[in-house]
Amino acid sequence: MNQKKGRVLYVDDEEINLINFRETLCDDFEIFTAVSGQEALLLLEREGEMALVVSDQRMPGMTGIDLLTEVRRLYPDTIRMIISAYTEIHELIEAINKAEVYRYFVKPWKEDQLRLSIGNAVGTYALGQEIKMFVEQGRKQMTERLRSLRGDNQ
Amino acid sequence: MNRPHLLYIDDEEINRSNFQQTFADEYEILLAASGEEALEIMAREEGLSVILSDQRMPGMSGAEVLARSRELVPNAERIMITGYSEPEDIMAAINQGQVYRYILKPWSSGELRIAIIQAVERYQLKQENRNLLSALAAKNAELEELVRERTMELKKLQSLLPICSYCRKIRDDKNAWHELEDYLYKNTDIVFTHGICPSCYDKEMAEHVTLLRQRKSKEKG
Repeated sequence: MNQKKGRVLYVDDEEINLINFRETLCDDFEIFTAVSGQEALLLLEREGEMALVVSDQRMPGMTGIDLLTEVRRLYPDTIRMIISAYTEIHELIEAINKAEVYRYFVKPWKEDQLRLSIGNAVGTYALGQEIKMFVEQGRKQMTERLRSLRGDNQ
Repeated sequence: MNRPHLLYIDDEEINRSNFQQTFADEYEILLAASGEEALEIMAREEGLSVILSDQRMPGMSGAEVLARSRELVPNAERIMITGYSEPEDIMAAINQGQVYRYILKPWSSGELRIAIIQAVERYQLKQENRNLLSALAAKNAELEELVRERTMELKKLQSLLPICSYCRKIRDDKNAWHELEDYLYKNTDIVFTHGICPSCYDKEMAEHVTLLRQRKSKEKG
């Protein structure tokens, strides 16, 4: 079993940030990285759903908000976060209204705050998955019980 | 009538009455002029679907009120409606207030209406999920109990039953002896209908016939 708490994808066009992010958090989380929105979507298709996708906002090609809006459509359970060096008002508002982000952080990030928020996000995702599993299990149990009751009646 | 309940928080009277007039036909509207008043309403009111707040108010800010509302009304959706905003305000709305939508003033009733419809839908969907979840748990508990009862009954009927070779009484698990009929009646769903089998009929009737004949010959004699 993997001891790490959850799968996290970080997207940033600057390699130094990817390395930095991985170094900071790889002890606690399983970290995946991508240098662009397009690459991130390909990686998700290959690796499957993540607990959390964290993205830089301003990148060549796809913006972080565009990426996370797409992630929201494809993987609605995945938690979404933006880390940006800029705090432009219309970007902030789009992060809420389009990407429905869980957190918006400003670079340079504070390590403690980032670690805490990522832990919370991964926990929120895990709780959602647990509830899903509980429902699925409950359905299965119900079917089994109904079947065994029908068997008894014969 | 069970219309969705909305709480709108704004320190300006004109905005509150404007909101009330625009949405009172579709929703149950609660109004608060300050964060403090809003918190009182949240503590008192059950089943708030959406909480909408202005950001800039004397006293508590909108982001603060919405952050507090997460504890008091965790299931409600939160929308910020605001005029002039600083980036820090919006960041607080996201990171502390966990808002679902951010609407700029002056709001167009179309934009705000869509945001409210979506928020109410989301609230109802989550509510439905919670209800389904508890219904599923309850149904499963019920079925589990039923399965347990049936299994017990089956065990009773399938287990070895000690029976007396002479009088045909049954010994139960507490070492007491019962008439076969009593035992089956108490421990199963069987209902008895009484009749006479052919050999008993012959036996019983033979006795009757003999008795009748004897009586008749005495009367004659």
